[in-house]
Amino acid sequence: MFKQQISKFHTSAVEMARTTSRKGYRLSPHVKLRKPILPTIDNITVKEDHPLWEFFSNGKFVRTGQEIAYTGRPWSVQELRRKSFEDLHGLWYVCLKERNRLYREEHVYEQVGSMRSNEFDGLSEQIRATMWRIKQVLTERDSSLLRAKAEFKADGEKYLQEFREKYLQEEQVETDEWFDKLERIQYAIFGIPDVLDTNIKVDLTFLKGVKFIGELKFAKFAEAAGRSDLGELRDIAEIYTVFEESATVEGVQNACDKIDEYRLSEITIPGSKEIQVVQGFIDDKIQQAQSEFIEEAENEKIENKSI
Amino acid sequence: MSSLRDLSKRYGANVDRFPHYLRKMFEQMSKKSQLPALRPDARIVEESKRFTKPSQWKVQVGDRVLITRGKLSGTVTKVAALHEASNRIYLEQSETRRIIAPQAFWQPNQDSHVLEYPKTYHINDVKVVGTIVEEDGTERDIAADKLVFKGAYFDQDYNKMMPIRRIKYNEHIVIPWPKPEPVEDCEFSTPREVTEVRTHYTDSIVKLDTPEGYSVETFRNPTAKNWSKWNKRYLSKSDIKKLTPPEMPLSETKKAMLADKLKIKEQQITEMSPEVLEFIGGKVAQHLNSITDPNFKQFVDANDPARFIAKKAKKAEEKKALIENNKENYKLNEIRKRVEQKHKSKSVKKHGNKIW
Repeated sequence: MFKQQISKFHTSAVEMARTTSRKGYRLSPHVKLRKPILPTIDNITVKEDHPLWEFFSNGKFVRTGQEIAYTGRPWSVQELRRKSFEDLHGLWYVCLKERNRLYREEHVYEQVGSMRSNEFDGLSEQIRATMWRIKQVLTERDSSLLRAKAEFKADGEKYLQEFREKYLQEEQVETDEWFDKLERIQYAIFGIPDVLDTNIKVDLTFLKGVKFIGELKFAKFAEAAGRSDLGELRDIAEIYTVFEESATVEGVQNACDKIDEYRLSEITIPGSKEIQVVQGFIDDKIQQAQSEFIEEAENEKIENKSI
Repeated sequence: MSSLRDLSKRYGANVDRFPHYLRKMFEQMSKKSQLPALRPDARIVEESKRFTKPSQWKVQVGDRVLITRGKLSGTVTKVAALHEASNRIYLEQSETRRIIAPQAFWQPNQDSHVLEYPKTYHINDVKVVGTIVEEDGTERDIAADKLVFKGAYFDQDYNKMMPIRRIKYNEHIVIPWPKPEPVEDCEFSTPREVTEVRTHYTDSIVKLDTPEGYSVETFRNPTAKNWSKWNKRYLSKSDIKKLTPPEMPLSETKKAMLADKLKIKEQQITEMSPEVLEFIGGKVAQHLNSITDPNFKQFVDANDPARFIAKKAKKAEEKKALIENNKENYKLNEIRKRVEQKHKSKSVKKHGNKIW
């Protein structure tokens, strides 16, 4: 009875194999059993790029107190304010990884009852200060953006009107200074970058910017280009052609020639389809640029081969 | 386990939260439990009262000071270290106390358990020594009795703003701060040039340089019990005070309006004139005298104001008598005390210094 119980409940594989039952040996006595393999650290190999190595400093189990002695201080808010989002994001993860390492090592020392864990905690707190300051800076930026938007809603129109008047009154605007100013205002207020790329999505603000810049250029240069006979620009397609061209007399002349062709077709775009149309223009332009780039690249390849 | 450990840090007994008398008791208990060699010679100051500014310390490491208290008073030595936990300083040449160090704490080349350990000094027990140059070019040491800190400058060596240390009543004499030992960058520090590079410019009110789908709310806990201070559900009194702008000064028209209101208020009659009082009283008396209902008449008679007045006068008299009586009793008590005192002093003379 007792033996049966043992054979039932014993967990050790070897013992179970050796115990007798009514049917005799469960395992033949002629089978040689090898010695069990003891679990030692030498039997374990870990890949060098194993992600858990991030919790170890240079593959070390724990660092000594001297290795984590520091003379620096946390990043100040003033220093962090100068850094871009990408930098802050990177710094955050550097800090996080280091804190994870320190936290693991601190835990190891604490398990042994060593007072050294306090040193690790001290450095970890210093790094923590940097981390909350990063959050502080990002919060500041966000709230300042919200405030700027609210302020622009209140008296943005007045500011744009003033800029328009200044631009129209200025005698010579075909200078680098004024080109820069136009570029800056279109990015600052309407978010339209100088170079269009694939991830641009046209929205109402974008459209407003296109209209403002396009009409401004036309008002300034229509007379000088000798095209005051066109009257006012009729729809978004006409405005966009002016917006696309450079802020010079020649640019507006080119645009006016295109508008002449366009007016022959006698199409006018309704307000509801303005966004769609501008998005189409931009997508076409980008596609055109891409196909040109591919052609050029292929040509170069052929030339290289022929050489 | 690590989370449990953190919980104990947050909710566990924190001595700093106890009242001062309990804190003192715990300090003494912990002191008793320590080895005598490890006990500090001065009391540990609580963290909020520890010195943080150079103007509080008055000295820095490397300063020459004159000791004014203890066996070594009169000697000029240098500050070796600042003991931040007790707001006191270590000097290079100072009084020592003999401690019996356990072998685990032995320094290299130590061969005895007995060790001479330097004592700390209070800031008021030393005077800062400076040098002044005489007109003939000779240098002379002076010890500053009192110091005063006026003005500040950026110190390249300390890498921060430092107050200017002057001698009180002779503020033209400045004792410069000692030059600290240069600190080398550790493994964790970022090079100075990297920190100074500016990579962020705000150039648009439409978008920041953040990636798509980013929002500050992503690094806040949406299910947090305690809402952040940026987004409070309930505002406290102090919050409202901070958030409301100060009131603008009154305009001229408003001032005139308020003055007019005050004038009208002053013109209002607040007290009745005797004629009006007589008139109203006459009317009321006439009404009361013409009552025919016997029950109502009885009620009116019972509430006769003359009765209340007499009652009040009687009470006031009783109170006056009581106060006078108390005064007499007080005088009697004083006399009795004086007599007893005399008697006591006589007996003291008779029997020598006896404790009553």
